Amino acid sequence: MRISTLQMQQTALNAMLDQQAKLSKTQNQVATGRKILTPADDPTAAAQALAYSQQLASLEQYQRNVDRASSSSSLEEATLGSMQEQLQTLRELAVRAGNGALGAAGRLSISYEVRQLQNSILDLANSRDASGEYLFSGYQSQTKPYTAAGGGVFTYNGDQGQRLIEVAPGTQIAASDAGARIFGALPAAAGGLTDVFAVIDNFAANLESNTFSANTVTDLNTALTSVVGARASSGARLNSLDAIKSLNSSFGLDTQKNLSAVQDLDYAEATSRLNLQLVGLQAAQQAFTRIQNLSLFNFLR
Amino acid sequence: MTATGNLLGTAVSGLLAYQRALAAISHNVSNANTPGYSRQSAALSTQNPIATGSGYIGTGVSVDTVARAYDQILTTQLRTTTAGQGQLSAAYALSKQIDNIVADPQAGLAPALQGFFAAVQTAANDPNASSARQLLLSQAESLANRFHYLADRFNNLQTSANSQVSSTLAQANALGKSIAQMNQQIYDLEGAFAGQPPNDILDRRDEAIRQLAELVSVNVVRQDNGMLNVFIGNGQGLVIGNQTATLSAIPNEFNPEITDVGYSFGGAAVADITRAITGGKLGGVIEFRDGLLKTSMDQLGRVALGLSVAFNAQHQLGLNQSNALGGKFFADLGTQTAVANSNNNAATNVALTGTVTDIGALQASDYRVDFNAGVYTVVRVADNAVVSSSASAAVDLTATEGFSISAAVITAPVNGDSFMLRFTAPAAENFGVNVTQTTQIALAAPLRSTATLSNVGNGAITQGAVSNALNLPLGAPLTLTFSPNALGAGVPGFTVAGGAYGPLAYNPATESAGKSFTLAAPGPALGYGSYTFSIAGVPSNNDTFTIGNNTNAAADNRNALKLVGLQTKATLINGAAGPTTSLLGAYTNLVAEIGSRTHQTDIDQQAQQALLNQATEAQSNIAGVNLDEEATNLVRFQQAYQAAAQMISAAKTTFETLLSVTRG
Repeated sequence: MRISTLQMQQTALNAMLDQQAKLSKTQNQVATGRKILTPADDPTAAAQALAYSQQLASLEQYQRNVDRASSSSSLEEATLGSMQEQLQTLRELAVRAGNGALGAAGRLSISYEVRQLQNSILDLANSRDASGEYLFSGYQSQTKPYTAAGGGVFTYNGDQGQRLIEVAPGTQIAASDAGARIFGALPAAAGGLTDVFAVIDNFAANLESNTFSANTVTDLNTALTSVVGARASSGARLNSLDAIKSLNSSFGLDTQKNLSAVQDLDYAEATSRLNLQLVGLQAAQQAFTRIQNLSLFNFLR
Repeated sequence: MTATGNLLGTAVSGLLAYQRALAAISHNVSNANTPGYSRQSAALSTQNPIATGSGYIGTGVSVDTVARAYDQILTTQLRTTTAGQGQLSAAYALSKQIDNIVADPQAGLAPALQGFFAAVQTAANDPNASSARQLLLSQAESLANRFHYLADRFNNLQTSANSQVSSTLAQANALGKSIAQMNQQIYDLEGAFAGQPPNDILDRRDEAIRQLAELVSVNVVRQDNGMLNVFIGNGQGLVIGNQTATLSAIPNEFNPEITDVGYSFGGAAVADITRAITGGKLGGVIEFRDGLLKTSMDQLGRVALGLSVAFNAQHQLGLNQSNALGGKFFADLGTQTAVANSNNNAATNVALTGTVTDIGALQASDYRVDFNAGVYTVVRVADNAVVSSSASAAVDLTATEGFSISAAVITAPVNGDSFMLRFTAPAAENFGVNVTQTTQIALAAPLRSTATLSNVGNGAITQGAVSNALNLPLGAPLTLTFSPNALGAGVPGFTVAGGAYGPLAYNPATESAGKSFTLAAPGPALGYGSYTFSIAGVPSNNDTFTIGNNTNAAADNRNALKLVGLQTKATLINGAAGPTTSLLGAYTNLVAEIGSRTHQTDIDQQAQQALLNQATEAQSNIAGVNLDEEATNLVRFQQAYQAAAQMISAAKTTFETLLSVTRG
């Protein structure tokens, strides 16, 4: 069979070009550390890598959301904690005030302390967060939740909204509680409904007029139960936020592993492939130079 | 004629023949590297013998012709595989570019989409923080920029494909002209020398046709007079004898940004033969431009369109910081005007407006409206499917295609007029942010529920979700009052005051774990938006809940959470049970499709390259020059030439011997 000289050289050249193209790709993979240089290298893996990267980025955002929800909840928990202590003090004062041996002067002096605590509790109910938003006014975070309307009446200016924060795919956790649900709508010992501030105001007013109602202790207990309950629920939220955070982060690690498996290069394999391809190219080059020297014209003298 | 004379004549014929043969070898060696060259050889045959009494005596050798080594079948095969390889390698080179555009995970759409939705989440965490709202606006801008960047890259590829079409057409015209000239030249030369083949020009013509096949598939038909007619497309003659057609770059009838292939022969009107072109670089470039690139633009556009439509719809259900319903967050891409075919009847004046009505049903395609015999036919261009035929230009294709067409027919079209509607293709480059002020971002819900603080029972109402903002805000709040006999004696529930709603059945004895209600708009004329909430617990008689406008709800993020949900919600590509694919999913599909089609083109291209190599080798094994063979022939003919020269010397000696005898 005859082969044209030009074709023979072309074939040798093609072989070298092929080897070089393969070598260049391997070199590029080693340089970038990526198995998939373009989606064409492995379309399925490229799509998976996109999905995993998106999942990782989402998880990062979820972790930020968890932090945000935690800071809200711990602020609420701390505020309610202080309020709990003050309500306990009030209850002790109520017990003391119930002592029949106490005279008008004694009751009046207790009333000063009660007024003091009333202001302090009102301030706590009107607390604001770092960005100046009220904690307990529901959606109306720009509105002071409780204001004195005179005559011992305190108006709730907020609403019953509760802000939720998404902390994991499909999981939303409350980041606030409306004041009306914690401090208001308390069943009064005397029947009907009352709120924390009315109970305290009534207590103080009674003391100031040298009277005392046994209902005060009951009502203060009801208020305390409500605040303790709200505090416990924000504490529970903090616990579940912690759990979600560690779940998110272990999910993140898994995702990172999966992402690495689809897109990262196996260096050992790539290096040995690189060596093999280098040998292949050298062999092609040597074969070409050896064959090039062969020509009958060399012998025609 | 004497024997001696014959001896000399025979020897001279050998000298001349071997000179020719050696000349052919010299020509072969010189052209060993000339593309398209076929090796030539002198065809030797014996001269007519002389009849004598003692029999026929040979008179030497003559050269009949100088023939080129040529195989018709192999040459045709080479042309066909060349056209195939031209197409695939052009398509692969361009596919590789689009593959590279989506290759970098950081430069694609995914991170921008993620960044945008992360900003929505940050805003949901702190709906009143203007820094979070500002971040959301700037992330929306970066997302728009990313859409524009990708659309630009795709447009650049389209421009580059267009200019390749133009330059290829110019090359094809030039090759066509030179083939036609060579046709004439070959005809003249064969006539001039009694049918002897002008080998080198035949080779050059074959080589020109092979080069043409690199540009476009050709069909070659040989005429009796030796001329070759060259046809392209589905039978358009590019070269007929010594005449050529003109291929020209013409603007697409619907879209001047697309360069089509115009064909004209002998001054006839230019016809658009783009759709008929196959093979070669031209076929590959057109296949890529109108195939993968178009699909990519459409699919990217569908993500842009889907995001803008879905996000706008939810945003318009929210309440902004000015206590107003949200406007369109992104530019409205859902309404497009059809482009009239540039070849339409001049008087035709029809304004067709398409409006996207269901983003899930919308397909990544252009839609063509053809008018014929009083019927408007809507064709989905991506797969040429007829999706509607109607006597009216206005059709509602919401269920199947996700859009409807409204029409204003000022001057009716004539048969053959057509129009093109594009929703997805321009969406990515037109994607834009509408909202400019942080206060315009609607993160709150327009309604809120309130349990009256003086309620005696422990009934509770949730903050609900608004799914229709019709006629909101409310003129007056709705009040729900519990009564054990709200729906008749002994049937407990809530009466609703303040709106046109009937009583709601609620039985605390069995439903205190929670029951969901939707106050839906009874009708556009008197209705309010739909509000879905649930009630739980045991309300007492006359306990009330109110549903009112959610004014000044700085900390409400209910609508923001709904917007967050759009990141993962399936909004696109309807299946049997509604949308199947999220926005990012649709982009991922696009990346996977670009990847797998590029991969497939690469494989096809490599296979075709192997075929081309085989065809080249087979053809070159017949026609190519082998230098060793030429060296052998050189030695052979040189020796024969020397021997013939020796014969002249022998004839001379013989003649001298004879002369010396007679001189005596």
